[in-house]
Amino acid sequence: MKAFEIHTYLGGRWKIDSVFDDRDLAVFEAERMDVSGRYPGVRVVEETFDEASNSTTNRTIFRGAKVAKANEEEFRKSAAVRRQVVTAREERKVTSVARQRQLKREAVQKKTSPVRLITILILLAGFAGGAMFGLSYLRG
Amino acid sequence: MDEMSTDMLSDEGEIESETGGDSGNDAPQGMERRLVFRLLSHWRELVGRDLAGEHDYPSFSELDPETIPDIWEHAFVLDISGHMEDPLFRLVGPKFAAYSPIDLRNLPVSQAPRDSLVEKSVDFAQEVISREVPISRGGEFLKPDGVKVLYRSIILPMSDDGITVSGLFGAANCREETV
Repeated sequence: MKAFEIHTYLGGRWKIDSVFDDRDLAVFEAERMDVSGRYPGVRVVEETFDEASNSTTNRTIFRGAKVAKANEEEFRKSAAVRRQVVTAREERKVTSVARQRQLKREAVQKKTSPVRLITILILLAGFAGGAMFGLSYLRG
Repeated sequence: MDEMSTDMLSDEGEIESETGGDSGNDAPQGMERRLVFRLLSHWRELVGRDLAGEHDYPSFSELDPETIPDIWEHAFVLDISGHMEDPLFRLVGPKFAAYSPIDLRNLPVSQAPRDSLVEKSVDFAQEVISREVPISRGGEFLKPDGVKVLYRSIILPMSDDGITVSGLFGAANCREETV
C-alpha cells in the first residue's frame, strides 16, 4: 500500500501538509505549491507499507526547486570542503616528508662537521699528550 | 443514486481534468478546477490567516459557503466530538446529498449507503482523525446497478481552538462510466 505525503519546510522542520493516494496528484500539487513561493521547501515522500513485514519504507520522489537548489549548494560546499581537506592532507604529507629529509640531512651534516672533527682531534691529541707525559713521568 | 441528473454529471466531468480547458465548469481559465485542490488551497488559506502561526487548523466559523459555493455543493461536515469512533454527518451539500437515497444529516458514517460515493468519501475519516492532516483518496467502484464510478474525495481536519481537531470537512465528486 502506497501513500504520497506532501511535506513543507516550516520553522526549521519538515511537516506533513497533506496525503494523497495518487503519485501524479501529489507531485502536481507539490509543484504548484513550490511555484507559489509560499514555502521555503516542498517535497513529496512516497511511503510504502509492506503488510507482510509490517514495515514502512520512505523515499523522496520530488523535491521543490528551492530544496534541490539548497541541496545542490550544500553538496557544492561539502565537495569544496572535501577538496580542501584532501589538499591540506597532501600538503601536510609533503611538508612532513621534506621535514624528515631535512632533519636527516642535518644529522648527517652534524656528524661530518669539520669543527666537530677538529674538536675530536684536539681532544685525542690532548689525551695522547697527557698519556705520554704521564708515562715519561713514571719512568723517571 | 440512479436518479442522478445529467446536470450533476456534467459538473463531475472535472474529476480527472487538468487546469484550464472546457468541462462546463465556471472556473476562470488557468485556475485549478479540480475540487480537491481547490478545497485544499482554501483550507490552507484559512490556516494562513493566522499570522501568529499558532493555529494548525481552521475553525468551522471561518468557513463561508459564499466564498466556495461550487465546492460547498459537494461538501460535507463530520462531527467527531463524542463520536470519534463513528463521526456524524452534520452538514451535507446538495450535490453530495444526492448520492444518498437517505437523509445523511445526523447519520453516523458507518450507516452511509454501501457502494456509493458517500461511503467511499468518508471511508478514511478515521485516518484523518489519527494523522490530523488533509487526506485525499480516489479510485473506482461499481454501483449496485453495475455502473462504474470514478471518484475523488478529500477530508480536512478542522478545529475550534486551532490546535485540537474537533471536526472534519470534506468534499467529493465523481464521474460515471458505462462499462
